[in-house]
Amino acid sequence: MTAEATGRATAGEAGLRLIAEHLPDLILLAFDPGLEIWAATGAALRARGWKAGDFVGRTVPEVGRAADAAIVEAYCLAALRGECRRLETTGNKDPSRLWAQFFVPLPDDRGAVVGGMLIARDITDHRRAERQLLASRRQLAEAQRIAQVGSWEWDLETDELAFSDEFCRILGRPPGLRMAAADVAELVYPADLERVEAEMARMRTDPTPFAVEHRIVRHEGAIRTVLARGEGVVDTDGRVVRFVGTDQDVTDHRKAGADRRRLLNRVYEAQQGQDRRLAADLHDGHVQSLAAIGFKLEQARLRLGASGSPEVDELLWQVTKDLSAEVTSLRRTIGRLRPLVLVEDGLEAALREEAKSACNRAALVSCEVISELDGRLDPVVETALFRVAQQALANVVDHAGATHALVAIECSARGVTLRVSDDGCGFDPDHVQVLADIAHFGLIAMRERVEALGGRFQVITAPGDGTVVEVRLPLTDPIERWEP
Amino acid sequence: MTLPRLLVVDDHDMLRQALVELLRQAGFDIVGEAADGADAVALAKQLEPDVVLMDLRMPVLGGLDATRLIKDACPAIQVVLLTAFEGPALQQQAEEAGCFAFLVKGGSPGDLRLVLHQAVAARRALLSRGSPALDA
Repeated sequence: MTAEATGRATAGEAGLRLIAEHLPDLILLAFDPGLEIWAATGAALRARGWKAGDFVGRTVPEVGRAADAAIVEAYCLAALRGECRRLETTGNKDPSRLWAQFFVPLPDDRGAVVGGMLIARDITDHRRAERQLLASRRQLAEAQRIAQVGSWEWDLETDELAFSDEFCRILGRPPGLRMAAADVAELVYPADLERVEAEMARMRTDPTPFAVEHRIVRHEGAIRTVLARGEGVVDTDGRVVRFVGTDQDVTDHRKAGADRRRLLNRVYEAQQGQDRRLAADLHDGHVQSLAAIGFKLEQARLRLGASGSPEVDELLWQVTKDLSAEVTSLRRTIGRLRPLVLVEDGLEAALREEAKSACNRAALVSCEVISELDGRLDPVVETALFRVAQQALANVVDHAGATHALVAIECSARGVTLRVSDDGCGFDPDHVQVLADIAHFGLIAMRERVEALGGRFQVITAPGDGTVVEVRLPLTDPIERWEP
Repeated sequence: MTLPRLLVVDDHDMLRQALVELLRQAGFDIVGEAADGADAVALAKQLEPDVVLMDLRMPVLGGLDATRLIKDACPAIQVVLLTAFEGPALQQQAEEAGCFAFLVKGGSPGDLRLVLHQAVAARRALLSRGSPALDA
C-alpha cells in the first residue's frame, strides 16, 4: 500500500517526530485505518529503552494491556471517525506506571481523516505530585481547622481576594469564596471597617508584615474576632503585586481573657467594697470611740488636778498619749483602705499626697508629680492607678535608696499611662520574676490589677540605673470591646 | 470675762458626750450640742457661740457645708473642724470653707483646748473691733 492509501502522512511524520522527541514522557503512535501502527516515536520511548520496532506493524490494541484492548479499539475507531478520546490506564510493560492516552484523528492536507494517532503520556510522577499536593492541602486545611486559622491571598493586579476553606468556615460562607477587595466591607464589623480599610490602603504600596485585630460578621450575623497577619509579595521592580496572610479566629481566646479580667475585676470590686466597709466601721466606730476614751482620760486627769498623785497624773498622760498614737495609726490604716482624697479629689490630688508621704518616709530630696489629667477618670481606673503608684512608691521608699522620684501621668485618646521612676539602685531585670515571687514587692498584684483592666504593666530597670514602673490602661472598656 | 461659749457638733454620741464633759471640765461653756450639720447651722445662728467644734462627716449636712453657711450668716463665729480624716487637700478645703483650724481626732487633748482658746480669742478680737460686717 502506498503511504497515501494507508493514511500514512509522510509529509507530517518528520514534524510529529520532532514534537514527540522534545516532549518528555511522551510516546506518539500513528495508526492507519486498520489500526496498524506505522510510526512510533517519543522521548518516553527512548527513555525506557523501547524501539519503534516493538510497536510498528502491530495494531494499537495489541500493544496495550489485554484488559484495555476492547476500549482501545473503540477509541481508535472513534479517532478514525474524527472524534477525540482520552483513556487513563496503567502500563502494559510496567504496571507501576500510569499513562494518559489521547486518541486523536489524523487528517490529510484536505482535512479528511486518513488515520489516527495515539499520544501516550507518562503521568505517574504528575499524579504522584498531585496526590502529594492534595494530601498537603488536606493537612493544611486540617491544621487550619484545628488552629482556627484561615488563609487568604489578595491579588493586587486583579484586586481579588481568595480565601481558604477554613477562612470560609470562619466567615460562615461556602468554601471557595472569592471577592473583590472593594467588597470586603461585607465581612468586616462596621465599627472596625475604617481601621481595616486604612490598613488595606497602606498594604497597596507597603509590603511590610502587618497584624490587625478586628471583628468580622459571619454570614448568619454572628460576630467573631480575628487576628489578621500577612505580608506583601513584590515584583522585580519592588511593586507590591499581592498579599498573602492568615486570619486566626481569636474570639474564644479573647472571650476567655475578658472573662478572666471580669472575674479579677469582681475580686477587686469585692475587695474594695470590703475595704470601704471596714474603713467605715473603723472610722464611724473604733476611731470615734477611742477618741472619746482619750477625751475621758483627759477629763479624769483634769479632775484629779493638783490634788492628785503625780504618778497617777503621769500615768494618765502616758495612756492618753499612747491612745492618741493608736488612733493616729488607725486613721492611717483607714486612709490606706479608702483614701478619702482619691474618692473626693481624684487621682492627681491623691498621688500628690502619696508623693509627699513618700518624701516624709524616705530620704528623698524630691518626689514630683507631673500630670496631664484633665478631670476625673473612671473610678475603677483611678483606683487601679493609685494602688499601683502607692505600691511603686512604697518600693522606692523601702528598697530603692533613691534621692529623686517622679510620678508622671500622660493621657492620650487611646489611654492613660502612669510612670513611677526613681534614681535609686535598680536591680537586674532578669530577677524581676524572682522579685515578683516575693510578695512584699507587690509586683504580681500590680500586674494583675493592670491586666484585669486590659492594660499593660512593665518594669524597666538595671543595676545602678534606677527603676521605672510603667502602666498603660485603655480608656475604653476592654471587656465590652469583646462583647459587641 | 465670760466663759468661752462652745457649740459641739458630732454625730457620734459617745464622742460628743466625752467632748462636752472634757471641755466643761476645762472651763468652756457648752451652749449647745448638735448631731448633724443642719442643726449646727440653726443652733449657731440662734446661740451665737464663740466657737463651733465641728465634725466633718455627718448626716443631713456635712461639716464643710455647715461651716460655709455659719460663716456666711455669722462671720465672727469661729469653726474648728475635728475629723478622723486628714490630708493636705482636706485641709485646704477646710481653709476655703472658712475654718479657723483643722484638727484630727485622736490628737492631743491639750492641743484641742489650746486651739479652742485661740479661736475664742480670735472671735472676741473681731467683735471688739466692732466690724459692722460681723454677725450682722
